[in-house]
Amino acid sequence: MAFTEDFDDFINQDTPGFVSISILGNPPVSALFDKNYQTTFDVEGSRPVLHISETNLGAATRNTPIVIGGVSYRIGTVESDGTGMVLINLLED
Amino acid sequence: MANHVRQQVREAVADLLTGLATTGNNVFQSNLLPIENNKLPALIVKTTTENIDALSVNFDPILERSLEILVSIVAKANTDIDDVLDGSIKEVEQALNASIEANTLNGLVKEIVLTDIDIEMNATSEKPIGQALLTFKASYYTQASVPDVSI
Repeated sequence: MAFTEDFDDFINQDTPGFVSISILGNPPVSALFDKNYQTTFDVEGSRPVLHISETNLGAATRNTPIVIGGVSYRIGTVESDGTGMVLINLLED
Repeated sequence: MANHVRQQVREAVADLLTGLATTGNNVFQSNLLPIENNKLPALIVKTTTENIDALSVNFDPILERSLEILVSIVAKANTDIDDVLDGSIKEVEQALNASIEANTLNGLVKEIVLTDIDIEMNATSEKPIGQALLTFKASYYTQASVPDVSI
């Protein structure tokens, strides 16, 4: 029997990093936002990423704009983990 | 007593590269802490490996020294980061070859020669980041007992 996860069990207002965002003008969907400190080539920076279900991602692809917490990003890469969840690397505008 | 010539070389190169159009005053030497975002684009000047040959076998010989100078250009940009790096490379090369005085750091070294350029880019940061690593070789001589005076 197929086992289907309900991602809303893991991505909800009780989950650290929870955000409700609108993508491509669609109604808000749930996702997890993370922005960890990192250094690259001896330069300070951060790595903004979004964990979201493929369903909630919809038709968004590379360069689709996303606003999170008032900051404008665009989609860099979309990494599917094969379970229906994707990790999106965001680029700050 | 003056500083070791290799330190004098590093400081002279950093001085010479300060004020360039792309990187301005964002010139750092042998930084241990990462560069802050508001200090970009930046140049990082380091002196690393030094190959040394004694020109004689007597006590206190003259040493022929070849010092590696690494100039790292780092920049973040949403578009055309390769153009930013290439433009800065041009400025660095021109500054170090603008005159005999520049190329010898006012006589501190015999010459500075560019030996290698390596470019790397990365898009896992909040903005694409690139690094151009320029390797130079500086030739100079000292007496073994007097490493703070170039001869």
